[in-house]
Amino acid sequence: MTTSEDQRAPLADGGPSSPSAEPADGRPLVSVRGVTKRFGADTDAVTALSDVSLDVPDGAFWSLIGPSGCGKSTLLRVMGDLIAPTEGSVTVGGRSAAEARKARDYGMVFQKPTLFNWRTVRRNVELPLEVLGMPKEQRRERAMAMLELVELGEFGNKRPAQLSGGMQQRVAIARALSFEPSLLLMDEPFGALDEITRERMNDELLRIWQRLKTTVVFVTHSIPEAVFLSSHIVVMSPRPGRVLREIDVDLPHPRDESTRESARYFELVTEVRETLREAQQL
Amino acid sequence: MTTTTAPPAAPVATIRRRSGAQSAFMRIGPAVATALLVLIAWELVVRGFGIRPIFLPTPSAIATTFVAELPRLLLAVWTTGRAALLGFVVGGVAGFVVGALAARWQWMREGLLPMGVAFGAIPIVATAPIFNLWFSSLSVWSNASVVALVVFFPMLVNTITGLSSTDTAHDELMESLAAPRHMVFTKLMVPTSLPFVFGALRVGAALAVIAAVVADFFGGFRSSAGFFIKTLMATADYTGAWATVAALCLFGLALYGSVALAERTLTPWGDDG
Ligand SMILES: Nc1ncnc2c1ncn2[C@@H]1O[C@H](COP(=O)(O)OP(=O)(O)OP(=O)(O)O)[C@@H](O)[C@H]1O
Ligand SMILES: [Mg+2]
Repeated sequence: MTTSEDQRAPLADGGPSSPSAEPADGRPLVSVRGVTKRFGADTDAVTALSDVSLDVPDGAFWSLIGPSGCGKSTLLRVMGDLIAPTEGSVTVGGRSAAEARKARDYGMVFQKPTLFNWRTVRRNVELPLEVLGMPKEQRRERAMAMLELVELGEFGNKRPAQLSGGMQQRVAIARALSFEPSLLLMDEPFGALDEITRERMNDELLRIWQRLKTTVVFVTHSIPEAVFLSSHIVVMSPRPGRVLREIDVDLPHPRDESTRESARYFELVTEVRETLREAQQL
Repeated sequence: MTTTTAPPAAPVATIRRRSGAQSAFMRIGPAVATALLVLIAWELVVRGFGIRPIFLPTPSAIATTFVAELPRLLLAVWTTGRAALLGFVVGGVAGFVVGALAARWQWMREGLLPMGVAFGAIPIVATAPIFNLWFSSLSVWSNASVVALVVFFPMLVNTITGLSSTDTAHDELMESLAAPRHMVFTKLMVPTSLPFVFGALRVGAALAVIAAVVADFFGGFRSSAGFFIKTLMATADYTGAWATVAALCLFGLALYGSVALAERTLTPWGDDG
């Protein structure tokens, strides 16, 4: 319902590196081309990203995984136009990242829920809609629908502080989805949750993704999480962050508890783990 | 069978309101009890040691005078309180507006913040005669200006601090939504600054009354509380002077209480813990 509007020009195929074979919808929505990011002045500059190229197809669920400090958040922030790359470029649906941000293409979910504690839960979800200038009634209706979607329908009038961490993060997801962005950028949204809650949230996120068919780029530390959620996993090397390997996840949908117990799931988890271990030894 | 506890199915709002009233009582209760104890001790000490009223009248004597002189006291508090209120509002609004402008332009912020802190340390007694010179000493604006100046600087400093103390993650959220600057201001910066702004208002409420009385001593209205105290002292009516001080105290408490009430109403999230 949100993505693949016709105005989005298809991108030319065959970029410089690995136009990953993604079966889902074909044409890339996000195209990262030779992105390098250096922080700081010349002498003591930190190279966070080195020549990263990716093509995220429309409707796909991609995970970025890699050791701490390898530049995952930096890559996500470059994609979201919160910081500019030192070299290279990002396009979203044929537009530059800056244009895409101004066109409200991005829904962002951060590691912390980053809710406004002075607003009720419902009004937090309404925030993007207010920015977009949606009329009050419509806004309220949409926010309630989004809260239903993340199963927090009864909590609209609560304050964020009255909710658990997992519930707050679901509110943040509802907020990011409320204005139907074409791209959802999530930076370790479940990093602070316990394993069981995290799995529940994974189930829920997957259900929402299947329903809305939004393109997702998801940063995580957790190998099981990456395998369970993704259609495609990008494994990054330690600093300076490079794309070490891309792994297609061919687990069938809908995924559930039995997916987590399937042989293929374990194979993929092992594959990602071994790649990460190799990466550490580089 | 009677029971005073709420049934388990009571609506959340009822429970919340009750616990709100309870916590309000818990906050005010100890203060009231302490004040009563001090007054009782005061009364007993003055009577027990036979202290002469010139040095310290009993609270009961002050209360008696307070009631007897109520019309004159009301006029005195009104005259001084009017200047305090006017200055409080003008200084508060001006402090916020200038602070908001400063939060918008960094050069202004960097210039104003140290100046605000420095000027905030100026004793009001120094400015009172000057304002008397500038305005007619029989204009309410003369004393109100003294008050406004005293309220202005804490408000300026707190507004600048408050508006620029937004969470980086919140800034990024607004940026990711490409929110226009005025929305960042109204939807993020102002709510973030409110606790700071109310902090300044609470300090300002206390300072405003002090400043207004001090300004009274430098001329102005004959009906003012400061002038009244001066006259009463000259005629050795010490109990009357104390009654005036008590009246000013009550006015100051009312002003402070109004600010605290407004704060509780406008920043209810502060209670959620
Ligand atoms: N604003 C910044 N200024 C300077 N250096 C930065 C900045 N942001 C990130 N870095 C550096 O860039 C590198 C990559 O950081 P980044 O936050 O992208 O890593 P990450 O993969 O998200 O790590 P983690 O998994 O711990 O979140 C780190 O070495 C970090 O110190
Ligand atoms: Mg990170």
